[in-house]
Amino acid sequence: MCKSGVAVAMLIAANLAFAHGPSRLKVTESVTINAEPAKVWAKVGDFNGMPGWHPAVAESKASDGNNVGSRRTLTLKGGGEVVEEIEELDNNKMVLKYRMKEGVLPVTNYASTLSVKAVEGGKSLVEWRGAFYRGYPNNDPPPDRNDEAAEKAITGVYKAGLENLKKVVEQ
Amino acid sequence: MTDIGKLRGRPKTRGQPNSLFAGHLARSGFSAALGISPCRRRIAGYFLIWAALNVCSVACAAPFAYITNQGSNDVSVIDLAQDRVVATIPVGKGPAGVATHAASQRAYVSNPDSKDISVIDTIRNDVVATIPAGDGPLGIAVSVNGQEVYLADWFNNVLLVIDSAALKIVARIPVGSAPAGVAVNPVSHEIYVANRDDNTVSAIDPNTRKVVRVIEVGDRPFSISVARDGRRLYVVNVRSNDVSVLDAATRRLVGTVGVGNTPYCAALSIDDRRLLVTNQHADTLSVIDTGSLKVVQTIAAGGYPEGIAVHGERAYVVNWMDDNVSVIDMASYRTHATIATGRNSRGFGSFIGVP
Repeated sequence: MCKSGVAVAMLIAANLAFAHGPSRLKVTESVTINAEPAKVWAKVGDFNGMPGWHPAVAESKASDGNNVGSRRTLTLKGGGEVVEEIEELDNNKMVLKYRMKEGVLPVTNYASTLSVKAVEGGKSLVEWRGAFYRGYPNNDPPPDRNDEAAEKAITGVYKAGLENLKKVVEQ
Repeated sequence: MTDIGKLRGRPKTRGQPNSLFAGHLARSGFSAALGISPCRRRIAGYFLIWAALNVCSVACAAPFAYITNQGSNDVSVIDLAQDRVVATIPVGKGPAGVATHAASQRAYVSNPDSKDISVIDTIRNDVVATIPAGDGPLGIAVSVNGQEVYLADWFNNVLLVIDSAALKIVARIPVGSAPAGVAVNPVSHEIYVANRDDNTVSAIDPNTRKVVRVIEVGDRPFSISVARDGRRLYVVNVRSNDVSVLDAATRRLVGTVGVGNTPYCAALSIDDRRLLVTNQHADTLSVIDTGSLKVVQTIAAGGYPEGIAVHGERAYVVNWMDDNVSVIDMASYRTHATIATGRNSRGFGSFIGVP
């Protein structure tokens, strides 16, 4: 009784400490890969090819290849699915923009951009940028759906993906 | 029920002179070389600052932009004559909306995360009051005479009317679901609110404080821009990627113009002939000819362009992803300057004010 009271009090305190309104959030992660941009883009620019480089993705099924509007259903190794749709894919600029339609990530209105740029020494800079709102749309979110939870989840996805992408391409 | 604004202490803003600085100036080799006493040196220091401020009051007479930075809880003040940030003002939490009123020398900022608004004195560049305001203060506008501030409360579906002298809420006008952008007609003084989740705009009579018409627009209207001549409103629809054009007199839809991916805000050229729309997911601006109601040009912008305002022959575009403001020449559409601001800059509203 007393214990649960303390737990509730801690939960309320946590909510007060972390409570935020519905502000849009962003995450940017990048990695330099020792390979020509074209070689990196061959992986990153393949909308249906994520299982080939992202360690958390088990399977991908895209509805219309690399065309705008194509939807991929990603099956995650940890369980759950994420459905995403191409907003823009430019092979010359090496930019892919997509938007999440539904999925297990604790975010809403999530859109993402992956780009590859040439940098000195024949290397590539891969940048992954996301814009999103937390999972809980109203004031006073539960801890697993607040701003911090959203930022942590997306940062985790980007870091793990870019780290493994570097390994796979440089092999 | 007292939503009386609590007066805040004066936070020091960057770039303001203080006695330490005066002392430092006084101790400089320049005054020492003249061989004057320490007391006189200090006076000389103050005189130098006074002289410098006088120069600035002439050279810096151009307007200023007040850019809300949602991620750093402050406002970047940009001197449009110099294209640089001259002050950073701490405000409430998650500042998003902004409205300026030149004659009363004020800027009003909505803080959705601390559920209040910050009142800024644009001469001192200080917050002079903080007013608790609903549960989700977002879109904000000022009446033509500056006596009232209109604030959309996103969570409570009301438009709050705030008396700018008494600094308190004097009326709550029920509007549609998730009210976002607010605008005032400079000629008729009518108030407009974009009800994001109802796909409508409420037109409100400022005297009776009653909704006089609810107008159907596109999918998820977020912001409203009113022509300087008061004849038209342009409503930007985030989900349907278009702009609803309304006639202000009849309050009817006269056209719909498709723009880029996920548009947010718009601003008119000085002659009302062109409307510039920020397309957030496309990182572009659409230029609409307001005569033909056609997109005549698409300009590359920064990352996630959101707030936009036009002053003279320049457009100022707030890039949320890049934490900066692009200054775009209205004739060539070239980027004339890029000014670094705070984190997650939004500038949602009419953010340019005259000192």
